[in-house]
Amino acid sequence: MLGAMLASVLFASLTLAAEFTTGQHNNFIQGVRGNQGIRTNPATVNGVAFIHLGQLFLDANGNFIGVGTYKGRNTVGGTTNCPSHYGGDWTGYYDRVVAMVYACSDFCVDCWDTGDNPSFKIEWASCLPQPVSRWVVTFAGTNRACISGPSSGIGGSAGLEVVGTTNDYNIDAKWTNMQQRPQGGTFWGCYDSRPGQEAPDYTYQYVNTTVLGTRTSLR
Amino acid sequence: MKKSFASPSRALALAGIIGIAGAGSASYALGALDPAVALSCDPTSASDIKESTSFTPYEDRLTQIPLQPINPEELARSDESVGPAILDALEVAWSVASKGGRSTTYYASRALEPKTTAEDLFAAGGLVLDVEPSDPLAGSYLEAIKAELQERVTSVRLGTLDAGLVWGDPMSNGVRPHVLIWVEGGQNFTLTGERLGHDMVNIGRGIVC
Repeated sequence: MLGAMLASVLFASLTLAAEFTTGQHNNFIQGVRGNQGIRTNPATVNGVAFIHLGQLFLDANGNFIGVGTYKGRNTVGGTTNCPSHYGGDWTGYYDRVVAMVYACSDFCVDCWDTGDNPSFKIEWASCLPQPVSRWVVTFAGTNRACISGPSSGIGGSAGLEVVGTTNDYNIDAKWTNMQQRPQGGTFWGCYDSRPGQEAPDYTYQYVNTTVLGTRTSLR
Repeated sequence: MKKSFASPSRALALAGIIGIAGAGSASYALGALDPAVALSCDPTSASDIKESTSFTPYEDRLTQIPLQPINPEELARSDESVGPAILDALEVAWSVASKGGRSTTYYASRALEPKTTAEDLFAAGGLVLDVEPSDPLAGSYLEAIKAELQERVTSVRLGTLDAGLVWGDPMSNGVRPHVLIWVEGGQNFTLTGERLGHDMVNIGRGIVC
C-alpha cells in the first residue's frame, strides 16, 4: 500500500564550540568542508528529488550557501532552478539564499555514483582569477561558483533530503573530514558537532566531530 | 562596539549657516539643504518603489531544509550588539555578536522562545538587523549584492546613501520578507522583515537620517 510522504529532511549540524553563556560567539565561520561518501544510487521516481547536501548558514534567517549532488526533481509548476535529471547517476548542484532570494544551478550531470567520495568546500576566499573575496563553492576539487553575501556564517551542516512523494527511497551517505574555518582564521578544525533534525524513516549516526552517517530507511 | 546614528541631514544644515569671512568685511555663505537629501529622509510611499515581480515559489527550491531556532539554548543577549534600542516600535528581543565585529539584533513584540525561528519572527512582525565590518577585499557589499541578484534589487536612497531593497522569495510559511541593504561607515547593514517595500525604506531612513 503506497503511503504519501511529505518532504522530509535529515541533516546534522556542525556548530561552533558552545563555550559561551551570552549571545557572544567566539567566532563566526568562513568555511565548511568535507567529503560526501555516496553509498547508494536509487532509481529515480517521477517528481521526487533525492539530495546529498552540504551547507553553510549565513545567518539564522534562512540565508545559506549549499553544494552537493542530486537526482530526480520536477515540482508542481515546474522548476526555474536546477533542472530535472532522471538519468542513472548523481548530478552536482550548488544553491543559495542570499538576501532571502533563492537560486540553484547544476553542474556535471550524472557524474557521481555509488562508491564515489567527492570533496566539497564552501569558503569565503578570493574568487580567482579576480582578487575579490566571495563565497567560493568547490566540489570534487573544482571551483563551481563564486557567490556574494555577508563575509561570515553561523554554522555548517551536512545531510540528506527527499523532496516529493515516494514510498521507495534509499539514500545513504557517509560524511567524513568535516571541518570548519573560523572567521579571520586560517586553521581548519573540528568543532563540537551536534545532531540536526531527523524526520521519520531517516537515521543519523554521529561517529565523532568529523564523521557522521546519514541514511533513509528502506521500505 | 556602539554606533552613533548621526544624521547627515543635520550636518549639512549646520554647514549651511557657517559663515565665511572675506578680508576686511564680514560675509556669509548660506547654503540650502540639498532637496534630494531632504527627500531621501522624508517618508516614501508605495508609488515611489518599483520592484521586480519575479520570485521563486518555496516548493520550487531543490533544498528545503527547515530553519533552526534562533536561540534554542536561551542564551542571554550580547552586550556588544549594534543597533537602536527601539526599531519600528519594537524592542530588542535578543542579540548576538562575534569577536569579528558582526552583530545581529532581533526586534520583536515579545521575547524569543527556544523554538522560535526566523520564519516565526517575521510572521509575527519582527525585524532583524545584521551589521558586519565591510571586507575591503570584497569591494562594495551593496554592489556585490546587486550583481548577484540583478533585477531583484531595487535601488533606493537613505539620506545621502545608496541602498538596495530586495523582496525576498517565499519562506516555507509563505512569508516574503523585504531586505534593505546599505553600507555606512565601513559597515554593511542588512535589515530583514515582513514589511511593504516602502515601509522598509522608511524604517531604514529612520536609522540613517
